[in-house]
Amino acid sequence: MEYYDIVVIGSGPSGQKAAIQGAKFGQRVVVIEQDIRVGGACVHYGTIPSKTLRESAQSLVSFKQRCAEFFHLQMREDLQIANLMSRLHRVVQEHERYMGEQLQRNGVTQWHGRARFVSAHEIDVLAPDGSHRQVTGEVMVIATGSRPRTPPEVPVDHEHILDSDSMLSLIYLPASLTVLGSGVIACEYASLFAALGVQVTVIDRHERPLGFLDAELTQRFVRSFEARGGRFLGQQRVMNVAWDGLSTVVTTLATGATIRSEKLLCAMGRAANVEGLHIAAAGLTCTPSGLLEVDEYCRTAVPHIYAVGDIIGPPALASCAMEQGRRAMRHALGLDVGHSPELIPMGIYTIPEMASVGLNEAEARQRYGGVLVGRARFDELARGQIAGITDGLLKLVADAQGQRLLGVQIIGEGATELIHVGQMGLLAHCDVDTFVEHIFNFPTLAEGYRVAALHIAQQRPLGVEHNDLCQTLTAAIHS
Amino acid sequence: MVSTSAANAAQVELPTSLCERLETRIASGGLELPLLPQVASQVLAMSTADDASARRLAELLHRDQAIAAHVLRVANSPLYKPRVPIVSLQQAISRLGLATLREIIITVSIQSRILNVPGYATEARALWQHAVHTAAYARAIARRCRRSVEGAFLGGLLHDVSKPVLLLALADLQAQLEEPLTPPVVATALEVYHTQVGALLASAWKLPPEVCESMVYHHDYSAASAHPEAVLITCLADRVTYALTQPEVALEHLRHDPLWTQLNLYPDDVETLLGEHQAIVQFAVAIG
Repeated sequence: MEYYDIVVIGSGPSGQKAAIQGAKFGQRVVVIEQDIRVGGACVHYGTIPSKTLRESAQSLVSFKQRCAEFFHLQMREDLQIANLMSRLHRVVQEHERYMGEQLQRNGVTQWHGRARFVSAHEIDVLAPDGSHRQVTGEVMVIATGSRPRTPPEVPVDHEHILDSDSMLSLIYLPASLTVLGSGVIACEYASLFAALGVQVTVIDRHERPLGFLDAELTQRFVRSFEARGGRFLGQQRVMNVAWDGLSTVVTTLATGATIRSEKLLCAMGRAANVEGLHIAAAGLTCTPSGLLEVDEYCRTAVPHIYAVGDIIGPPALASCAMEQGRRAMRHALGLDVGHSPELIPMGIYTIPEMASVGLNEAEARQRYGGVLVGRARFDELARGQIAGITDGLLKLVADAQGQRLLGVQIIGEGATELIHVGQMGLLAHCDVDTFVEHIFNFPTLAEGYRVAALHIAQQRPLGVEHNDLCQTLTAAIHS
Repeated sequence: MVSTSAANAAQVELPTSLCERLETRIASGGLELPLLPQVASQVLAMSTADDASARRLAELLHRDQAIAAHVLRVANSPLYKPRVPIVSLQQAISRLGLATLREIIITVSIQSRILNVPGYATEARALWQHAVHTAAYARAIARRCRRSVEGAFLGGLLHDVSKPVLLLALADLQAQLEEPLTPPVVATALEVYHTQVGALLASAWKLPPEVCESMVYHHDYSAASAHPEAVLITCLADRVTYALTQPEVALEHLRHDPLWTQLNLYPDDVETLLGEHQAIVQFAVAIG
């Protein structure tokens, strides 16, 4: 039996940050990873590979758009996913190497195997070769992540009917693809494959995809997706999915309609990786939805056991998971944890990208009643026209007086970067006029903040104080 | 009987005259991939008009390494002008349509020589059974590892496709040699030359890159550079198939093969995969 101050199970973003944080404060830390490589699903099956693939696809789409005036461009019909993947392997390897080196540099011990609680302080680790070793720890961090959830009516075979883990094992672009679900993963893959010329049909029980996002953004997303040949079938219930044994996956809907495609992606949510941990031996239980419950410091019901990342549920973002890992470890070590992040930006890597921070229009109306919304269309921004990024919109949501900024929503290329301007504005409690009074580089997409702020200023009710610059600019726009 | 694994073949010294003749034939590109017997008649007997025949044609494509290789080669040829390169059998079915596939299969079966290798029918059949088992195991392993299932099947089916080619060449050469070729000499010749011939075939037929690497490096997976996991899967499937088809199965030895660990397969994964053996045997028998 070996002893470590801190035992971290899982080496994804949350586990890695927890381990490094502990090691930086002189703790003996071991990370137990069941995969042969460090990084977790984020690096090997999720965020990094899918975003890299998206970047390659987006580059092709952008190039085609921007050069349409100069060349007769047509996407090669023999475009293979393997060509697009060539960069992906390099990026994943580089990321894995960097994460491994970071752990090594900080003196974190790495074990390869599956962890299983024997008691609240003891863990048994099964290596792939069947050997066992045990470890005791003062503090335990569970960061085992999640895996694709497969409903019983969808017989995933990883050949014709795939999940988000096996999707990247495709060796050619299918002619057609059905996507079940309309969450983040579903929409990201659907828009990516549609951009590459695949006939994509998205099926979901909800009326619109990405229901947690601003409706105006998702409407624009669906329009863009359908303009690329995609099809969104909302308010549909899938009754049956079957491979016909020959060439087609047949999806039968409750209406009796059938959708036929070469491949199908099941992206109907994720399940936490709790099984196999034997958490009962540590005195823990799962919530009805299979998650681990934690307090604001990510501490479970057993005080020395923390849980971070996807295993504690939403928002299930890599960015949050890293912060959870860091906070959990600082709390465990009795260090200042700092304020809990008030605002978490959300980035959706669809084509086009979408991003959100703070309240969206519907949420703001629900909470405050009236609101004022300012819009800046990318096709009306000089940079948007120059760069050919015309399919975009930046929305500022303000209170009914048009002064206090409540949220920012963006759709369009660069949205996931642009959103941070709004995030900083919200954190600094900037009012809407701040975006009018200060100079933005010209031409940039960030200029959209100023345009949207001016749009709000125009709509302010009579009697609301305008600063001089705002009045001048508003008058100029009106003239 | 020929060995189906280089690691297990008892190698003997090859006669110089055989080596010279074989190498000349390899260098001159005079090797031809044989087809299984009865294929042409089976395909000719099929109609493309009904579902049952369509399924049968698809089954045929999936179970026969010779046809699979030919279909991929011909389907990618200018004759059929594929809109996209055909890199998997399933893709071939989806894209080309059954009528075209039937045409291709009939064409290649008529053009090619029959697998009925004079004097080596038993060996050829053993090689084919090994290929089918390996393909089925490779598919199961890939599914477990979340790797390309279609690619793995093809890699398994074609990894030793050069051996029947060599057998055919040996049968031809036999007449020119003074001494008869003994079974150990045949087995050794297959083991010595099959990856070299495999490389030639893979290149000539423009097979998908991961299949090419599997054909060349399945006994030396560490040398595979572009698709190491695909080669590892083929290599493991090859070893499992070989081990499980021996008269005395050394299961414990098989369980401790380091390749399981290299593919991050845990003991329970190993047991699940070994537990599929009966289903895989049934699959092989059914298509035999």
